[in-house]
Amino acid sequence: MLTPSAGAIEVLGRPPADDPAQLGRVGFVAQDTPAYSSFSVEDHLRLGARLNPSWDAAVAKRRIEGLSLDRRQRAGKLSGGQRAQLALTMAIAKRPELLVLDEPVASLDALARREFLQGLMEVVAEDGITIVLSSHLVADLERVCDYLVVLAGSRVQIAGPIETLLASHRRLSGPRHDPRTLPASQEVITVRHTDRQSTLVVRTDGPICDPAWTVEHLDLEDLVLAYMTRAQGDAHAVRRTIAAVAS
Amino acid sequence: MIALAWRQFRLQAVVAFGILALVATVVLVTGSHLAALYDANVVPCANSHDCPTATAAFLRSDHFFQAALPPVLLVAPALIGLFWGAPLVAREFETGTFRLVWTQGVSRRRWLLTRLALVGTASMAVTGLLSLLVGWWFSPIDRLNLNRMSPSVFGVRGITPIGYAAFAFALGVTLGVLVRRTVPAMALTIVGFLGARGLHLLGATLPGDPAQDREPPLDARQRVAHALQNRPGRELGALQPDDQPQGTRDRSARRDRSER
Repeated sequence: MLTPSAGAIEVLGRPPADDPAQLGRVGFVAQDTPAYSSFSVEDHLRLGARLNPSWDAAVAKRRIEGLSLDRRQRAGKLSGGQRAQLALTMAIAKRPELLVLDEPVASLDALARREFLQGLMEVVAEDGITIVLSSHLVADLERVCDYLVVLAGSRVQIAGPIETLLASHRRLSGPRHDPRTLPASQEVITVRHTDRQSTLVVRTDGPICDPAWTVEHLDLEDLVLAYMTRAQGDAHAVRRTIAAVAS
Repeated sequence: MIALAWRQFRLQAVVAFGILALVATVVLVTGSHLAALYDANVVPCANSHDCPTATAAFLRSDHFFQAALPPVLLVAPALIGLFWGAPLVAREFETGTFRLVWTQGVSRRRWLLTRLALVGTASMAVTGLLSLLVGWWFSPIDRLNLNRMSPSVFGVRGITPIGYAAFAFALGVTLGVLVRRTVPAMALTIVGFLGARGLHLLGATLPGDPAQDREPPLDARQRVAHALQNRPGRELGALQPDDQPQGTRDRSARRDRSER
């Protein structure tokens, strides 16, 4: 949407929004899934068909029927979940190679969220396209995504396959301890001390040998929170976004 | 892209052309009445010697429409800037739909150009037709009223309103892009347009302006003589009283001046 103030961005090997052909390769569902409120569902599909050379009317039709949306209904009268589904349908029917979703489920209730993500998973299974999705709801990401990127303070805090990340992080708790005494192979992410006890989140590929520690695995939410806490300590992170990739 | 631009503009276009049809009906009905009055009262007076009375009576006729029609051409460009110009881009920003439409397979440049072309052309077409109608309605009166450069007349005749419409539309779009919110953009557009319009009126009445370097007012008889000279139907021989030889009329005009 915006030209970078420094550096360059490449999407699928070319600058984004470079020309119509490049725009057609990337599907995008914006936050709050905007739609023209005076346009009917049908109008939106016609709009997509006219503006995208690779539009697949059959896919759009099947999805709209599958969602039992009334084609003559105005988008302004759809519920949040239905509008999100409409936006997703438009993004999918243009047959993109990459689908970018910016907090698509943030404003949806739990049921609509689940249905939306289910729709996403079907698309991934059928077409094998790559989806990049940002969300604050870590539990949703854990269910649908394979790859995690944590962004905080406009920097990538960590990126990697979710399984690898979960396997390589531990929570250590034990008697109060100076984190600098840990072996070099253990990268300390966060430290919390009480009078007698220390709790650390560390990243390590090897086993934890010190018997003084009680070692626990982290779940994804703890892991994300640990990195965000660290980022907040580093800089005053204002905007926190977690992006995750499903493919 | 044209289909989308048209779909977004459809309702506004229907409203505009509905209003245009309404104005056209009123203008055509009352305008033909005015033209008939002109033919019946003013044209024959060139032969009689009662022109001041006849023209004064004629210029007083249909007073309501004389007062009501020019403001139509003042207001139309302002409304166009307000309702077509300002929201064109600002509403997309406000509702977030720019994120939807800018990520379809059409470049932003083409998106903007298509919409500007469609709505901009419609703005000028509607105003042009209005100007044509109002100009036709006023044509008998303008023939008697020589001062077409007067600011209050110049701004509402011929192609001038089209220029004002294009200006108001461009102003509205620009402010919409800058402000990004519909209602503030509309408010700024109306202020900007009326400000510019007011400056034009003010500037045109300052000394040294061409509008001021005009002939001294003529008396009623001369006005009629002039009007008949300029009457478009004259070449077709439609106008019997005017068919006197050129020299006679010139002499009579000179005599008029020397009498004064």
